[in-house]
Amino acid sequence: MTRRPLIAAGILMGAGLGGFVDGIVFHQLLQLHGMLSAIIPPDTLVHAKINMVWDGLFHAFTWLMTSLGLAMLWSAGAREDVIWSGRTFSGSLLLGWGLFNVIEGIIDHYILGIHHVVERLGLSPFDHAFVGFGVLLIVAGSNLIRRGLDDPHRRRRGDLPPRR
Amino acid sequence: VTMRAASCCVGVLLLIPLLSPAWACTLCHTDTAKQVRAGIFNVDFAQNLAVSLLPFVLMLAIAALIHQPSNRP
Repeated sequence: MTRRPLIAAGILMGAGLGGFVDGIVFHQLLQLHGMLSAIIPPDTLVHAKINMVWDGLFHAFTWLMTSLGLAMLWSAGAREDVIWSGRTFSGSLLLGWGLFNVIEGIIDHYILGIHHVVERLGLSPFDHAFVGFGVLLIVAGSNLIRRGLDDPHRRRRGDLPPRR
Repeated sequence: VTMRAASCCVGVLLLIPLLSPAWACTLCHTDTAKQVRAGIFNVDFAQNLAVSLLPFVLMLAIAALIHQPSNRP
């Protein structure tokens, strides 16, 4: 019995959905930054549209991650040796979201500096909060995955205990 | 009736590229569009592309590592 396919699927879906939260909330609704807003400030129509194209690429890849995760979840669901645990899967979603925030935050915000959470401020406490929130998600997700170890290891309907 | 409806649909679809809203594509025909394309496909394109995709590549690598069966007994 294994939990790995379920965790891998959850991590990819969590990263994709977490990327959508970032893109939709920060890039589009609040317009606090764009994908390359530290390099190409979106202060003219042309620059805003250039950032919009790169934002579109970001969203395309979050969509691909989500879709790939969904395909892996479907594949895991067809395997009888995969432990089917809601806590493991939801923990993996949180873990994936957190990992993505931390990786994206460290690479794009700190190391390469291509954008920051509030571009007007540059590197600011909001960036620390963004990565800190990612760490919290990783801790919460890991805890849920660990608690999922207690879930029953049986998959087939006939093996499940009768409903009360 | 079905054939006529299908013909209408095909006709409308064929006309879409000729309709004026298609020319509203701001990345296609205007001076702004030329500047936007120049701003995207410049000498930094490959670097910007790599930088934008790097977090996704790392996440895929992590998921692939986890998905692999463990060698531990």
